Formats: sequence, structure tokens, C-alpha cells
Amino acid sequence: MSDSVSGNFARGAIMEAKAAATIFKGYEWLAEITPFFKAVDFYDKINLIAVSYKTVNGLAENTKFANLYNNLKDLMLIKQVGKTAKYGDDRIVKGVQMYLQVTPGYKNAAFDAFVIEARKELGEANVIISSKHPE
Amino acid sequence: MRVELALCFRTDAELKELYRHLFDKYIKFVPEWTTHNKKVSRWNEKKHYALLNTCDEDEMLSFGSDDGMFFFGVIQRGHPYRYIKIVQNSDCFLPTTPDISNVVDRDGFIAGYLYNEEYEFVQTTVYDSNYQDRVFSPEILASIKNTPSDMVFGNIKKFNTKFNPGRSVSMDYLSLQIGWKMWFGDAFFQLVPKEKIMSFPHAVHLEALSDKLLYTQLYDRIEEPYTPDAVFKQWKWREWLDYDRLEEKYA
Repeated sequence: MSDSVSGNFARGAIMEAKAAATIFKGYEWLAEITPFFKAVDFYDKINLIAVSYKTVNGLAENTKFANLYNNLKDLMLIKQVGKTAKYGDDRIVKGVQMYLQVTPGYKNAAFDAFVIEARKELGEANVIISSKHPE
Repeated sequence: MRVELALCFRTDAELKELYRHLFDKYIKFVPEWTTHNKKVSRWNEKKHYALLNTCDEDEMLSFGSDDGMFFFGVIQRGHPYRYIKIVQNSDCFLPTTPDISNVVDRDGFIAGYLYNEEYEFVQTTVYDSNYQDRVFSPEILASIKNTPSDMVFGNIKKFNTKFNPGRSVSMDYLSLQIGWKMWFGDAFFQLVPKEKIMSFPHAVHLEALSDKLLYTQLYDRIEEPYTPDAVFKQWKWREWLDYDRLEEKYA
């Protein structure tokens, strides 16, 4: 793993931990249960919604978005199957959402193209973009 | 003002020649990047322009910059559809009715919409954080001032866009939208009978261009989709074609 990749990974993990305590307070944080849940990070036990939390670092040379496209593909599969499971720990899923945490002022036309596809495939109410960082 | 053209086709429609035609005729911005099959790269004219001829029709391809976007691909739903989208500023992009009527007069066409992208974006977007870095006119922002909303995820306003007549919904078969101008092909008539559409009484213009193609201009000015008259016609159009039923059944 390169320094920049490990740096981005660590940054994403810290943001996710902060989000667990703030934005997603009341949700299950799946990383606390097992590190092997695929594609999703948080789970709304009441509405049975699985949420993928992704940080997009506008300061990095992050123009590929392969992780986002792969995540979208995984979420579409989870939505079709209706559950996400790893190592026997199941969660029934009635809906999936993608929460994209971007840096303030982030502007990237390639990112916009990704969002168009995600909104069309997941549905408008299931793609959330925010530059307000969890405190 | 940004103008958008959105076109929906069945997945068996043959559109390769159309992609090239649309790009050559309408794209006035210089792309900065390309997304091809979920991979993003910096624009390379020689390499990426050729993709219009060589890419498989099931692949997703888009070209973009801050000045516009050209996007096409298959939207994966229960019943997928081909989706083409062009967004540019109105000073370089406002295609004529005959031009678009020619573009959509082909097998597999479902629906096409030409509209004020800023209005459609605000009317459609559920979370206010999704557009906090964009600037809109006071009139466009006023179009959602009475839309009910809740606070979610701590500090994000979530609108109930059911109260917005100009919203778009992606569903099986097509993106269901309302435009300043709209075209409907015979694939759409399986969802709403042609006779029902043709009997709509409030359009500025409504015409059967052929047995397989209808055209309508719903309200007067693309620049002003938020006037009381334009909003009234959008609601009436939704009611007449029973968009709520279509959303409930297919979205």
C-alpha cells in the first residue's frame, strides 16, 4: 500500500468513526460488529436501510473514482438480493443509500458524472452529498 | 441558464450513430475528462473522440467540463433503459424543435425532455446539501420554499419532492420528467395511451408528428418554468398522465 493510499484510507477511517458518533448516531456501525461487511458501513435497524459512507478527498489526486463505481455496483447487488451478509452475520436490507462526504468547495465534473449515474440507479433520495464534516 | 436535453430509449435501440451526431452537432465545450466504463481519465481528443465509434452500446461514456456534460449509457433498473443527457449553457445550446424531432424519430425511442436544468435540479434534489455549492436564481429557489422538509443526518434538509411539480424520477423503463418541450415515442404509449396524452387541454402546443411520435410544448418560456401559469401546467400534466401511478408502480 502506498503512503498516499494508506493516508487516504486512514483519513477515511477517522472520518467514518466521527460519523458513527454524529451523523449516524442511532445507526449500527457495522465496522464495530465485524470488519467484513461488504460495501456498507451503517445500518438503520428501524427502516432496514444499509448506508455506505464514502469520503471523497478533493485535495488528493483522486480522479479515478473506481472505489465509488465499485461501491455503487455492490449496493445495487445488495438492493437486489435484499440482504448484506458476511460470516453469517446477516442484515435484512429494504433500501440502500450512499453518503458521500466531500471536502468543502469540492468541484469535480467527473464526480458529477458519477453522481448522475448513482442518482438514476439508486434513486434520488438515496444519494446524499455533504461537505459539512462530522464534528 | 443551463439547458438540458434528456432522452430515453429502449435498450435494444441502435444509437451509436446518434451519439456521434449529437456530439458533433451540439457539444460546444472542450471536455476536460472522460468517464468510460466507470474509469475516469483526462480528456484526450484523439483517443476519446474515437470511443464514440468504437465503444459498445452497453457501455457508459461521458465527457465533461465545468461548462457542460455529454452522458450516455444504460441505467440499470429492473427494466433498464438507455439514457442520453446533454447539459450546456443556453448561449450555446438551445436546439430547435425540428432538430430534436428528427433526432428522436427512430425505433426504440421512449421519451425526450428539453428544459431549464437549474429548475429541474432544484425541484428534483431531495437533500439541500447536494447542491450547496451551486448558485441559483431567487426565483428558482423560491420554487421550493413551501416544499415540506425534515432535518436528517444532523443538519441536512430533506425535501419531500412529491410537492414539486418539476421533479424527475428514475424508474423502470425511463426517467419520468416534465420539460418545457417533450417528445414521446411509441414505447411510452404502453405506459400512457397516446389518445390520453393527445387530449391534454392545457399545452401551448401538442401535436402528433407521426403514429409513433408526439411532441408538446407545455409552457411559454424555458427561462421561466416557475411562473404560476407554468407551474399550473406542470401539475395538470402530472395529473392528466397520472405520473403518481407510474412512480408508484415503476419507481
